[in-house]
Amino acid sequence: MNRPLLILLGIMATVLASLAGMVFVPNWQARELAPIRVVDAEGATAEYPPPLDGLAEAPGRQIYQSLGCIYCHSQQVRDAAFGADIDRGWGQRRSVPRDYLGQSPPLMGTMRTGPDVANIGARQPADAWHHLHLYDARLVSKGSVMPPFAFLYAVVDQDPGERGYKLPDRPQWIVPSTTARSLVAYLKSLHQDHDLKEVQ
Amino acid sequence: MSTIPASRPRAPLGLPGLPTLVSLGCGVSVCWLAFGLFLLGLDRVIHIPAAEAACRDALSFGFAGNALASAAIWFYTRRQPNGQRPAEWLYLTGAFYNALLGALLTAIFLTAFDFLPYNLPIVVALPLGLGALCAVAAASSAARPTAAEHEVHEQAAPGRAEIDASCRQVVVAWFVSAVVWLLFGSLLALLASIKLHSPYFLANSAWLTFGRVRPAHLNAMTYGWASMSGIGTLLWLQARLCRITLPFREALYLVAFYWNVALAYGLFRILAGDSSGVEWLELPMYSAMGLSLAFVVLFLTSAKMLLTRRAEHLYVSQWYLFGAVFWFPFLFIAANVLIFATPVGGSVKAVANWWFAHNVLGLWLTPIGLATAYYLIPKVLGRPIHSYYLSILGFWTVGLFYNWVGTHHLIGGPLPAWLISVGVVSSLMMFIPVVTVAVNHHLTMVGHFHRLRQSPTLRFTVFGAMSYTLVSLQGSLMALRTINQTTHFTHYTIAHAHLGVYAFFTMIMFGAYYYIVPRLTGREWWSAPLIAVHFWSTAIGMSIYFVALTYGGFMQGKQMNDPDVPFLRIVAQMVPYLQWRSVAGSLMTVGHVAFAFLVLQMVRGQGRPMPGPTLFTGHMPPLFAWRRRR
Repeated sequence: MNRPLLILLGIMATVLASLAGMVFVPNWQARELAPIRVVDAEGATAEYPPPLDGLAEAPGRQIYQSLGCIYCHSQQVRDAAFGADIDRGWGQRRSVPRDYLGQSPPLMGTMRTGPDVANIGARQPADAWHHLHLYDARLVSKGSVMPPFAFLYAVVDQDPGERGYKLPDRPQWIVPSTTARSLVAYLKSLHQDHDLKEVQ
Repeated sequence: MSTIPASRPRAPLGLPGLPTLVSLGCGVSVCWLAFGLFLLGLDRVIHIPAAEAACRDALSFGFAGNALASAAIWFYTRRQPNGQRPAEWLYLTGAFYNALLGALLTAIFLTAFDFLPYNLPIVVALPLGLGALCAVAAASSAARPTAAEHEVHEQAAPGRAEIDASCRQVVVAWFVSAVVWLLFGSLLALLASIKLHSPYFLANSAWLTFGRVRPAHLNAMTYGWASMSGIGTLLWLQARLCRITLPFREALYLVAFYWNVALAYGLFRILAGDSSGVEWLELPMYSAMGLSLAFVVLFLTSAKMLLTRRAEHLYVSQWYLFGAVFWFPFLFIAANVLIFATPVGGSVKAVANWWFAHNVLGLWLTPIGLATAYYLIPKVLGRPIHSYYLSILGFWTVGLFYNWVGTHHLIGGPLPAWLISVGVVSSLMMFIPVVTVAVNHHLTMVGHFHRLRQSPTLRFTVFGAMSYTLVSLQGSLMALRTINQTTHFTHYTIAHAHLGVYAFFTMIMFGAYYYIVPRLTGREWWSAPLIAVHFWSTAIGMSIYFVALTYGGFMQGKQMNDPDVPFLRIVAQMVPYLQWRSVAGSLMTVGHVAFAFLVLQMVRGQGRPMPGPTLFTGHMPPLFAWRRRR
């Protein structure tokens, strides 16, 4: 162990082996994974996973990333036999690699200070819920420790009509900024509801 | 600066001298600038996404990289007569670097046109090229000297005082920067911790929302405090153990400055909302690539030190340090390229993410921490390490198993089962290096535990070494699917992470400061009681942190797996534990402030004059002794 070159060759070998095993092989294995065509009840075909809409959903994903939602919310549902994710209603089936196709980076998360949001779009379909929850989570979830994102909203005393949402406890309305609207559009796009053949 | 007579004649390759190299470097740098601007124009006129990426790389790597390297070489050689230093390998480095960059830009264009699934050539070419470079550097020095020649060679080695003096400015620069980041990181940590139980605290700005403060804290601590203190320690240790004066001093000094700028800008961008959204790699690409360049300088410095060393024997610390400076730059560059510069998305990117993220601890902080412990414990005790052969076993098994454990962060996630199993098995295999190192350290310490009462260095280091055993065994067990089912996604993992980076690595770095800084400044620590304050507030703070979040996190996991417990009740029940975390964090911050003050006094030259180290007094625990005197 007195020859640097020998040590260098050894340490290169160890790290290259893991690069091959943990990065290249999975990439190679995933090479044939592609979106599938699904037919809905009305007979229309669509692509799953659906690509994000570039006007609101894709920018919303950027905002999700930028505000660091990932540090408290995961986006992965574990199998029914492993944890209580499905019993809690966080999803109808476990997540599979196909659900994350094209996501760069995937926002799977590793922490659940808050609940999993892989299917939040299906679980909370109403705009009003999302906006009130983002403005101040305690309005709709008592005891939540989620930070308020009030800086994404304007508060007005006059009813702004379609654009605004009434605060429950006082005669005021919140008007979401474009940022807040994109974020909610992204959150509402989150659902892993197709029965893929690999989870049946 | 005294010149050491070259005892081994070198075979020159017939290349012109260093001034030509510097001019060449500047020339190449200007060419890259021109090319980068051309690409920028191209991108503006006809919109090719690849041109934008290539332009960024040409400007940062090509222009800035070559300019920085040329400046460093110029600083280094401006006092040297022409031809005194071997210039071959510098030429080769430059040629290799620019060739690599050319390959990178080509690959970016190719991937844009779908010729390649990802930038395979670069990640393979990089280590191979660096290895080849080292081989050439080794070959360019003459044949191995005989034993008699070697003795002459070793006798010409500089003394310890001379080595310390050569490290002084560089290591102090890295150390002081690290302490500043430690304070900044502690502030961010407190903010994040308080926000998690009091959500309205400083909530009116996107800049200070939890989701930005937390990654800023992590990156300030990892790339600011831990990496910079680790690099300072690494340079000093390697110089001491190689018995040579520190090479490339001006370059390393500049790199410290450059590192601070790159990191500060990266953190600023994270707080501004430009985080990449990948855990442990939140620094935006431009900042991360800036740091990569510094890592390359670090690797070259280490290689140079090992190849020109005056001590024939390579001590175990040197293997770990050399491992760290290769492993981490490789991982960092490969992960950044794989995750941000490739068009392939999907869940495999999460694997690359955790392959890297676990190795920040495993193949960067762990080897540096262990190398430091392997050096400091025998040094303070004045007795050799227990077993050379256990050290070999420990080193190679760390290298072999640690870089496969990353997928245990994704157990239950949407990935092929075999990939998770590999992570679980490797995590369990980590028992081998951990037990090996623990036995080796313990048998070195055994019978000398009373020395912990006196020596601050030893106390911090042994605390760290013991935490290493604890955190590693805990980590291996957490990878078991049955345990992970409960602890995954909870604060239990956060407690574990802090046990690793704080109780193990940071405490060992504190020990290293207490040993190294007096040798650099020629002064002794200003106040033993203040060191005691530092030790007890960090040790107690960390213990509270660990106990509160481990217990709280475990309960959180248990309840989360019971669908009858409403989620908001779990949130409410976590709040007291999160408040305890803020208490623990405040205590640790008190310790950091005491420590920063001590370091400040040392660099201001206000330490006690030598001789004799600052020790805790007598046989009573120091805080009590201090109180009794009052």
